Amino acid sequence: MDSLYFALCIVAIFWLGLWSIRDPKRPSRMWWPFDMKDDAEAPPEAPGSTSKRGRRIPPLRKTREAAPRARKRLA
Amino acid sequence: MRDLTFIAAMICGLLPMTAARPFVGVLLWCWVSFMNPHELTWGMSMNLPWAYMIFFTTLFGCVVAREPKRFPLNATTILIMLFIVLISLTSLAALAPPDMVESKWSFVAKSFLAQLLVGALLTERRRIHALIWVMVISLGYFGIRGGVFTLMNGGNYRVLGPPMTMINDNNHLAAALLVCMPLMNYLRLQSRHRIIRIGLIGAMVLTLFSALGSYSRGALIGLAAMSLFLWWNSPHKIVSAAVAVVALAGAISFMPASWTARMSTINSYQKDDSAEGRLNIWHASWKIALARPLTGGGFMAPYRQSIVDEYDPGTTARAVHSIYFEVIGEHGFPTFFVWLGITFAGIVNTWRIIRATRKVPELRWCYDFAKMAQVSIIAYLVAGAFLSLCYWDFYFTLLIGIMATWERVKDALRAAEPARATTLAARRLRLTTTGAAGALPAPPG
Repeated sequence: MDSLYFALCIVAIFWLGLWSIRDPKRPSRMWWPFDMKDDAEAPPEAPGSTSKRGRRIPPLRKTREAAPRARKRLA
Repeated sequence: MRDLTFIAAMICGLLPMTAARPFVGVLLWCWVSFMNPHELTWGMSMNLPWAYMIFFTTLFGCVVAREPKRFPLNATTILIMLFIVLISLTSLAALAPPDMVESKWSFVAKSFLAQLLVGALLTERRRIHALIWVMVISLGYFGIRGGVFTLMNGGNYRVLGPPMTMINDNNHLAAALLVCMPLMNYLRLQSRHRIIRIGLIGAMVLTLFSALGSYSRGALIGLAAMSLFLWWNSPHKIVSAAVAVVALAGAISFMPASWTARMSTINSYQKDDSAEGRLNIWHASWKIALARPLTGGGFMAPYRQSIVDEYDPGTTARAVHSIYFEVIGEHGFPTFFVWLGITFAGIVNTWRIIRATRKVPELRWCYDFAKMAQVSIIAYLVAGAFLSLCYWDFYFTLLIGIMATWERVKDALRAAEPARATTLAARRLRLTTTGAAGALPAPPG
């Protein structure tokens, strides 16, 4: 029983070490027991960026309709 | 088998990770200092210099890796540096044999220097959270193990601390577990996963049984003080009082008659040899301090019969069993006030954090941590009045963690200040250009 606790302790420290150095903004498939309540979920991929699978997400296009609407909102 | 597992984990995983990211070295250093895992392997790794290996790998990592590090200059770090200087000076004038003094000085000075390194690498929220986790894992191991042992044996046998550590003694272990329990609660409050939160509640219950199973009277007083402080700060006083009474009464009623008999001697300490011996050595320490107010007797002075005989004849030399009298007797009044100042700076930092983050949801973790750290400090200050734990690295690491949290809160508030100023300026500009005060909605903040 004692050895089991000890082994769990080593695993926990190893896992904690990995958690402390991982970039929280990058999505991970692994389960992290040390995650905090307000740890942000992996943010959606930014427009224009290249996703992990190599698919490029097209950037948002400026549309002509957007300008008058924005002007209206400012006014 | 344990030995091989430990060596393999260190050599193949954790030390290389430290070289790449020195913060892992901070976690390892804390783990090895607080838990002494290599001493529990009963094999070859007991003789390997793990602390040195971790220290030098961390230093190497600090030089090579581009990891953020910032040494903060504030009351806590300045007082720790001053404390190291003062204990070095008092060691020069120590009364005990030089080899004993040097050995203790080296141990304490290294421990406090390591605290400064820890403080320099605690640059973000996740690192502080990881530090609290490593503290809880290190002592939680003994809490859970001791709790299971107490429950399985009906509380008939004493729970002892790990060998070759500062918490070897049953009283020391009990106080350490009390200091650790609020940190478990902080992790419970801040953990995202339900299973972890439930696990932490289980760990807290077992740790409570472990503390009671140590048969430490000082710990019982510390537990009472902690419970009172928690109740005083609770927004729901009736509910919290009911929960505390039920939990404590349930745990105490489980303990056998021998435990109750031992605890009842708190009221009749005049008839108890152990308690009387403590009062005598406190008196001897006080007399040493009065005779040498600037330097005290130096490290180990109250432990040497020849020195005690000189200042308080008739008293038996022994461990001082009080954090306050130990520092006064060993180092005199200036060092004592600096040592106390480190704790005071920690308390002030918790007040500042609580005041600054009370209404800031994004910094709720700081608020929870400061609240629970206050309970840990109370446990240490009360239980420590009957224990020789004045240089306990776990406690000073907690104070460093509080200092780092306050630094993060200051950074967050500073970052929020220009955004707030910009919003106000934009609002003023709109009011002047449109001239219609009521037409625009008020900006947030």
